[in-house]
Amino acid sequence: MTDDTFDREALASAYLDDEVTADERARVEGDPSLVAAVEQMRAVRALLADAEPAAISLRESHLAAALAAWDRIPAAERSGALRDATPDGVDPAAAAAAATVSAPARIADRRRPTSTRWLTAAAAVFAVAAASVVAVRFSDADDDSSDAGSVADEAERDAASLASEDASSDALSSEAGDAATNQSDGDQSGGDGGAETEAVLEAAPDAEEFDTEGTIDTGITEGAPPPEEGLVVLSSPAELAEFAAAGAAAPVSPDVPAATSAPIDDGDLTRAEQVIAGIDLPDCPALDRVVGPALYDGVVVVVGIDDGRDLVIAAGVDDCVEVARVRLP
Amino acid sequence: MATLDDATLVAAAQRGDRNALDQLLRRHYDRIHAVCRRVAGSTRDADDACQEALIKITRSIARFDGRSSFGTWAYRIATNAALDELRKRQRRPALHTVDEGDRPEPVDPSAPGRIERISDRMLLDEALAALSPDLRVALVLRDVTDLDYGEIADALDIPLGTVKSRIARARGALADQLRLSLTETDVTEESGNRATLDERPIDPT
Repeated sequence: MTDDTFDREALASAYLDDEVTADERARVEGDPSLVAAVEQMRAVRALLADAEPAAISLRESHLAAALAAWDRIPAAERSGALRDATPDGVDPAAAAAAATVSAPARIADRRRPTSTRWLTAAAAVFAVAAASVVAVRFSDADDDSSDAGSVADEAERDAASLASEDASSDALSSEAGDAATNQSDGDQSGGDGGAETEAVLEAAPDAEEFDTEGTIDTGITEGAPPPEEGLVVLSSPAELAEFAAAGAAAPVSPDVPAATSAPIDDGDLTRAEQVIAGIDLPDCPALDRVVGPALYDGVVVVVGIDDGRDLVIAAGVDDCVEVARVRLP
Repeated sequence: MATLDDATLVAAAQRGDRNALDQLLRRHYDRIHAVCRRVAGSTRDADDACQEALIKITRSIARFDGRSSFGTWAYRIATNAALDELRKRQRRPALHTVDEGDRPEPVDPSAPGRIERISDRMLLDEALAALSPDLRVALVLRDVTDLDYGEIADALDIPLGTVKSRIARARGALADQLRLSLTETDVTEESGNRATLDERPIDPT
């Protein structure tokens, strides 16, 4: 293609958009081949503009989702109170994209409480187990059951307190608070009489694993599975679909060992353990429901479901970028 | 009831008026969807992009400062959402297992060149897919959303001359691909001298 041909093409295109000078207009209109080129481009434009409209159901679904997102925005932000937060010189569309990344996603609204509840429950279970172990140690050393019971009770109270703190620290704490309350109630109801004795007896064999310095091995490192071992390995879309279908009814890793998810401080956890524990699963807007983490094609992903289109989606845990998708069975 | 203009609706939405936002989104929905459809290509990706774009618009409208028109701003968000979908598609390892149903039919090499006989939208999709994203986006913003050159330059943050050349090249390439003509003889003559898209001059800007 010569420069001249390109110039003629550019001239024809500009003519179509009425972006020509009077001289250029006259040149186009006096040249049949240019007129023909303009007509070709006009036909292209007509084809492009003739996009098939979206189905009404799809449109309504999209609009409903957008307005639902609006409803979840805090009132102060929604009403423009934070409008001036975008600094001068920042492109509004770029700011829009950035705001979207940082804003609470729809899925987060539903998932965070679940994750928190799960962590809270795990923390409480862990603390009860620890209390049981302490009770065994006291029992062995002093044979003073009342002291042991006292320590166990204190540990249970700590567990409840820990659960409450966890719940209250979460912005979406209503469900988590309920979970903490329920968990505490459960601990208390099982914390006396035979139930407590049973817990001590069950914990006794594990006491041999404790070191002689009196520190309690939480089992986070020794008891937890190696990195990524706890993740379900998926290697095909079919397996992805099966995983999602099976997990859809029990979202967020129901079979994760309690010890793995117990610590509130996740500094010592590996990346895979964090994923397993559900501590920082990403907020992927495309996912209406989260099934859980998995290892897909060697990539740690969060598997979720797009209810609107009956899709199972595996997205990277770091960036929510879609790794795979398949129809929900 | 008089129809409110975009600026009025935007202002109302920024004050927290949900109905105003609803009206805005409805007014621009078809074009937003069309942008996504033309840029992303496949129907499913376009639907995803459209949904993403609407949510982004909703979440960000409080920060929209009105320096450009709402449409320009919204279509740019839609364009970016569609390009994001394209990038995601490229990263999907098992795309074929899902996309088989959406793949365009192979183009019949003897397909007629006249516009009135091109009824299969897939042909256009395929021709669009052959364009680079830069060319495709510029053309879509012009011919689908009807933005002028200045608005496109603003939306894409590129010089006006670049907008002009990208649109021209995109149209020329599409016309070649679709072999559109109302005067087939002229086109055949001219097409014989046309270079392929890859041989076209590099965008000077």
